Amino acid sequence: MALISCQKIIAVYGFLGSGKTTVMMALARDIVAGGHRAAVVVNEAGDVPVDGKWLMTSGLPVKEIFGGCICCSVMGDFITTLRALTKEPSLDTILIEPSGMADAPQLFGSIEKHIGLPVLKVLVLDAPRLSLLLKAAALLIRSQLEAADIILLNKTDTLTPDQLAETRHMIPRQQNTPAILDTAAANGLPVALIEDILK
Amino acid sequence: MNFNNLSYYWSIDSCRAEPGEVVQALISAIAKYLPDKSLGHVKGYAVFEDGTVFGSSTLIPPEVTLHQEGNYRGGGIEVYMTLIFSGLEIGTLRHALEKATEQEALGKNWTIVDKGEKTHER
Repeated sequence: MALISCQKIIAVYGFLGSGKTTVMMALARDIVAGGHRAAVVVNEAGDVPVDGKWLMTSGLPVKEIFGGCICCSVMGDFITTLRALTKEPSLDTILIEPSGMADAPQLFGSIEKHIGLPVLKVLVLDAPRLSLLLKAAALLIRSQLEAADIILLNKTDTLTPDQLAETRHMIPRQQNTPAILDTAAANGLPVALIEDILK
Repeated sequence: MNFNNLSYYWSIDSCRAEPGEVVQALISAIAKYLPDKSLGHVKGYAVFEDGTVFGSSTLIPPEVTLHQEGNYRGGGIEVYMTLIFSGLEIGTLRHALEKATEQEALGKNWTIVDKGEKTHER
């Protein structure tokens, strides 16, 4: 078996439009500023790779996998790309952004099986749409919550304190559910949170 | 859940607006022509000589976020847009794109030299 150089895989996942790329951008900028060695793999279901183009402006190398979802139709391309990156001696971290329609828990299982590295799973929840998503996409959101190591409740700056309390209350929790952190990623992420994710 | 997506591009020779305004107006118009509270998002970008402007929005609320790299000093632009939604047919996405193009091209005097659906061939 080939040597694995990369030590860490961080996945930022969540439903379409939850703010994953904005969170990724904040992490990417911090990685560049800190002189770390990282690469990004971004997956988009559409035929125009928008998020990858934006993430390239962070200065990190970006691999785009588009025109399908990496949890199913383009999983082979994804695993091949990831395997190649883990052997790059110049990298210590790989950031992954699955498409917003991905079955992320299934994807994480495949990564751990085929790549053999643990994945830090950062879930981004869209606070203003959470009530609707918990009704319309209940199974998907619940499975995303069950897989998460870190949960970011994003766009909380658009809610009143009462709406925020109500939104936090509706999140289904289990015994091992991690703490839920309020964020407004468009305004930047707290330094402590970035350090916690990248440590 | 079932998702459908459609990607589209426009090559615009000249128009009476900055690329950021074009992206913002297009996304807002597309959102207007889609059923309220549909689950998914609209995202895209415009490329100009010295940079790119990126934009995206969900429909809840329809609020466009823009990020621009570089300064626009005139000239043609290429605009790319992708719609990904759960529970909406491709025909509904295509209708929204065509109506938005009609509305914005007329309103801002676009000279469109090419446009159409964008398909990735693997």
